[in-house]
Amino acid sequence: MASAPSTKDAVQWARHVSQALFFAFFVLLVVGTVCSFTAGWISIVEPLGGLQVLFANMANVNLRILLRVLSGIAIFTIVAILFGKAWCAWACPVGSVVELAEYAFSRAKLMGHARRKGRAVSSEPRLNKNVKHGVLGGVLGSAVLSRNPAWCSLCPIGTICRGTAAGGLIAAAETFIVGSVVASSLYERRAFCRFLCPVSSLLTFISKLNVFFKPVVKRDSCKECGLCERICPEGIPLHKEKDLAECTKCLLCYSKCPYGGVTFKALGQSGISKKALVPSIIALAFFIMVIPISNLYLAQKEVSLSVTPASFTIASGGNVTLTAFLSSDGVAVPDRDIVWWASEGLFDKSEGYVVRYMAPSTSENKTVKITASFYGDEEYKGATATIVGNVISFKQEPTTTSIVPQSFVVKPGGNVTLKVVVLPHGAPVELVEWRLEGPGFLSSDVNGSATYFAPKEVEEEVQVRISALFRGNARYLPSVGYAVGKVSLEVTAPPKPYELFGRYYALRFSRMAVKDGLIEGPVSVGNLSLVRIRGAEAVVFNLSMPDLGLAASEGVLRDLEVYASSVKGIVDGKPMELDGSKKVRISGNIEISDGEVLAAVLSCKSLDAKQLYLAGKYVGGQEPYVPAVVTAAEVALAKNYAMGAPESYGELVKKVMRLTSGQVEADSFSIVIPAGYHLNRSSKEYGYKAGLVLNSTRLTGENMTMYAIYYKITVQIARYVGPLGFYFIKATGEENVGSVVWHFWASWGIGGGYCHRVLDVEVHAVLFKLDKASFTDVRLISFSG
Amino acid sequence: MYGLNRRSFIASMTGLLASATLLTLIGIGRGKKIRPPGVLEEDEFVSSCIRCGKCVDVCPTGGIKLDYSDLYDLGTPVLEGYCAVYTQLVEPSQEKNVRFKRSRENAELCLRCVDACPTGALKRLPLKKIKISIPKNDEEKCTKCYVCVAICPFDAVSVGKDGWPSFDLEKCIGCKQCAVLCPPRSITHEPYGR
Repeated sequence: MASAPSTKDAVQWARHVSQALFFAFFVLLVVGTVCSFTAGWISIVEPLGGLQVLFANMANVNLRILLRVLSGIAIFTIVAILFGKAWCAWACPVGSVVELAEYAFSRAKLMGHARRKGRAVSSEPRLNKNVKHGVLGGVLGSAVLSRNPAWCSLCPIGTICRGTAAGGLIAAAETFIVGSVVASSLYERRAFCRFLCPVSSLLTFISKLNVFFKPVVKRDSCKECGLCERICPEGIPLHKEKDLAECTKCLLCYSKCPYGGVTFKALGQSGISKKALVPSIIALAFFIMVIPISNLYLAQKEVSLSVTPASFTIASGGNVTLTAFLSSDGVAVPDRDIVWWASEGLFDKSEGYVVRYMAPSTSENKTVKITASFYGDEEYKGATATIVGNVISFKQEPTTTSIVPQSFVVKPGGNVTLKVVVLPHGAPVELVEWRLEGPGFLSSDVNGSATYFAPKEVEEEVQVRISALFRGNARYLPSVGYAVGKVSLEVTAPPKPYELFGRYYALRFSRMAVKDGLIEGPVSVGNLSLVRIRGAEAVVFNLSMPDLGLAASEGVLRDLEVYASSVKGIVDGKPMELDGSKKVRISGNIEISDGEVLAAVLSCKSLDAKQLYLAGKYVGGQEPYVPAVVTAAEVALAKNYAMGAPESYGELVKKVMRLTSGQVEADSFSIVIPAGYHLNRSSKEYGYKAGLVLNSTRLTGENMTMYAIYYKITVQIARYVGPLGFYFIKATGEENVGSVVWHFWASWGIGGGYCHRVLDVEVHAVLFKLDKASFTDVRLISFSG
Repeated sequence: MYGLNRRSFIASMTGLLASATLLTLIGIGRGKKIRPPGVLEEDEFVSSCIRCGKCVDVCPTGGIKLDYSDLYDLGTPVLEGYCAVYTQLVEPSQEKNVRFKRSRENAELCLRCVDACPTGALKRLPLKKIKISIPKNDEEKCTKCYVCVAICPFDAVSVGKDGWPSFDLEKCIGCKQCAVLCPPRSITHEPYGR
């Protein structure tokens, strides 16, 4: 007997450790584990929850739900058949809390059974234990009636575990449910567990199949004192009861019997009768079999996905139809989501078995990777197929576009026919887009001619500007040509080509080195005699053009041609002064210092400038600056472009927008220095007369800063290839359009099928700065008048 | 064997009637809620959910929360935050979503809540059948910044009439990422009408 007390204590301590471990696992570590637990193919569902789901889905029960629930409750049920209601005393977190609370209550002499200590041994409990079977029926019945496992919402076992996932009021509600259960123990020992808990009821029924590990009373030692009944959490009168389905295997009777009259036997009271064993074995076998069967049935099947053609070669901008084939064991699987992805290029739709892939327009040969994916569903696992395609490019040819005639004069109400010439021959003229700036009306046809109809009445002479933009395609690069016209009240003869030279503008520099240069004069152009400067390459330092408000620290001009009325400077240490009256011819490498050229027209194939700076002209008054009108087509900004909120430029212009960008690219770039300018900020209308114009077919620049008082942006939004529409953004410096505009600038930028393409930009800039700028096909001319 | 005497019978019948009445009264309530992905019909979902909270536990965005607003579905999950849908879109941002849309190469569906569900209340549905919620745009607050257009992982938002964002409900699964990323917070989501 010496070792007996320590064994008796040890089993109770073992039980408390088990309770603590399960409590920590269920309540503190993993949310909801008491209701379900999944690891790999093992899925455990608390049987009452599982049964409720079955009953709630009674109307539309199918094999899938049935197997899922049965395999879920299988492990729990097997344990219950083997060990009876051990769950209640060894694992249930509510049972553990209640047991701990009852210990505290009895120490505080609060327990009902403690107060009624003198009560007769045989006195009935105050509630009938069969109530819980009724509750179980109610729980399942209500699940059928309301199609809702509503008990799960209130179940103390579930809520004690969910409570940790919640906070605030919710945790308070959860605490209330668990608290009520604990408080019910004050009324009667284990009141909730014994009389109400439907899980306990369900376990009691399963426990009827339990034949192992049952308490056995040693008749010779038992004094029928009744302590076992009082100590038993389920209130089983062990000394007289035969049905032990309610036994939770807490071993308290074994531990507390003063006479050592209770033992536990693995094989029950009096050996195992066949009668009791058969249903038990059948049930065990059933639930053991359910697990692999349902896992086999519910397992996702393997599929294979292939794409035809397995590889392809198409031309740049071309398209190809791709077909996905999804099969499982050689049988096609229809009506699933096949999602497509391509490293470059687009699809007509992003999902489907058959899609059309559109290759990107590219100037170099490319390899594209195309992936079709099936993400998997209840029946099938996911699969992915990848194919590789080649996109072959045409070498794009550069083009030049010009309008004939380049300048014209018409009467009000008159018209003039213009023709566009795109070189090389064979470039599709129908890709030309005409545009008119100024009053009047322009009609164009696809054969490359357009007719300009001047307005019927004009108050004074009006300038118009017509541009022809050759859009380019996979074979030809885009280019642009311009024509300028005058709607004049006076009937004049057609102008001579260089009558445009109405004004001269100064070009100053600290040093200019011309390679393979030729300065000759006089050259007669129309009725003027001018000096012509030509050079294969000219490097200019500290360039400034006061009329344009333009300055650059360094510039490199290629294929330069300047017509000037006067050229001044120091050549080889000697002052030089040329004008159209003197005959001159200097050739070779020429270097001029402190030069000033009064130019009428300047053109060059390319201009690379550093620290380019363009500022508006200060005139004072309401709009103190006459801005430079900067226009461009197909603008793309990259690298940290940003449009700031309205701010002030110096002390002078209070409402300007600042636009900065690390990199800028634009086609058909031009700067117009207006001769006169007005802007109505409220109606967003403006007007100006063109003065000096710098045209360039393309600009690329770095680190741009621009302060502008007016923006006009035309944006095309397209989805994949089809255009959705045009949007016009007009703003003076007053509105904060930054957030509206910012992402439009990244032309063709944003993925996902939407393309924002900036077609046309007109900005009235009071300041325009570029750290580095490269212009192509530059032409600087002044308009007369 | 069980000793079902008259007293026990009356007691259990009382328990049955009381609990059945109470739970049926609680359980017949229904409403519309924004559920986690994988729900075809609200009714079917409520009848299969055992309120275990597993989906809450596994959700990488923390967007799934247990609902305590009604008694009939106390403890069922609702999508309070957003659904990442793809594992790459946990904590979405303008840059992340735009980059993801450009290179879906390794796109991997998340749907961990569906995998965690022990009773099949959340089902593994094909992507186009997943409907979580319906977006609504408050035109009073909207600044037409089109961030929603740019970030939508399903290309369901486009520039519609008068430049307002318009939602293609065929494509939209209601993941609520546009609402999370909308700078003026003008997009809200309503439960899917089912």
